[in-house]
Amino acid sequence: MNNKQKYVLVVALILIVGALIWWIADGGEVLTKDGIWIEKPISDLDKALGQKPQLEFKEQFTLGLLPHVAVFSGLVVLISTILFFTIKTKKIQETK
Amino acid sequence: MKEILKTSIIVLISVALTLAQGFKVKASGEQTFNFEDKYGRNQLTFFSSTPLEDITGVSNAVKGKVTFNVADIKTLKGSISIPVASLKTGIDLRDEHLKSDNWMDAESYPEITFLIKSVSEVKTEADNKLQIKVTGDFTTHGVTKEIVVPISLTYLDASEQTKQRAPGDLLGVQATFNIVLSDYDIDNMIVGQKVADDIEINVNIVGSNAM
Repeated sequence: MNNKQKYVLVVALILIVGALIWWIADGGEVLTKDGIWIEKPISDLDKALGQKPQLEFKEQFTLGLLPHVAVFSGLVVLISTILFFTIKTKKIQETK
Repeated sequence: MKEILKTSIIVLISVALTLAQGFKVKASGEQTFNFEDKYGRNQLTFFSSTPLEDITGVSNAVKGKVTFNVADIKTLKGSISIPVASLKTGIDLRDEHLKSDNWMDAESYPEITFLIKSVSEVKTEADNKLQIKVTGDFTTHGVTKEIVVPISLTYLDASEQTKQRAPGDLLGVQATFNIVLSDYDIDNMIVGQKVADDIEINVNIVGSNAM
């Protein structure tokens, strides 16, 4: 393994670990979400009527394992594998 | 003989009135409440939980009417419904799937309804608050099943405060119950994986007797 190959592996590892850290920090959801349901403030009258807070949809991107983190990690693995072997081949040819 | 008959009838009426459980409010007699709210403030929510995904959905197009004698909640009759087309989960594509013929089949079965048949287990929490169990026919996807729903009812006489919401007396209804999708022939590959078979439904609605 030459230095360029090591560099490719380290960058790939950093990208995948970074994506996983972002995913965990974003709530560790299995599926990516476009928004969340939030509870609306309830009025005194509604409280007196025995009502519970109503739900309102708020657009908010939440990174999920599927498809974003999985696809990104897969692409990183694919590209780094191609680069890894491309660099190796070049080195062998250069040696010859 | 006449005296005995008269006394018996009075006793029977007194017993019936004593046993009758209802609201102790200013209003009296039979009242009809309409739950159609042009501002969409009445809401039904549903919740599905699986290891893969939690799904929350709402409908703000609740409609229906109930009628009852204020002094006797066991006289409660009526129905509540929502159009399937009004269900929203927050993702447009998922909403389309939900209404498709693989799921709720909104075209063939456009309404989800609950028809009240009888009331049992009345508990008085306050003069204007009752906890009851309502037996009724729940219909969705063309299938009707009898279910029992615990419901909390709150009656507010018309006042300056209630006018903020709607004219007339107001009836608040809050209920939480579960339905099993496969009981209603909603059963495909996704049920059990991304969508739970057991769905929790919450109803938060307010009706007025002046609409």
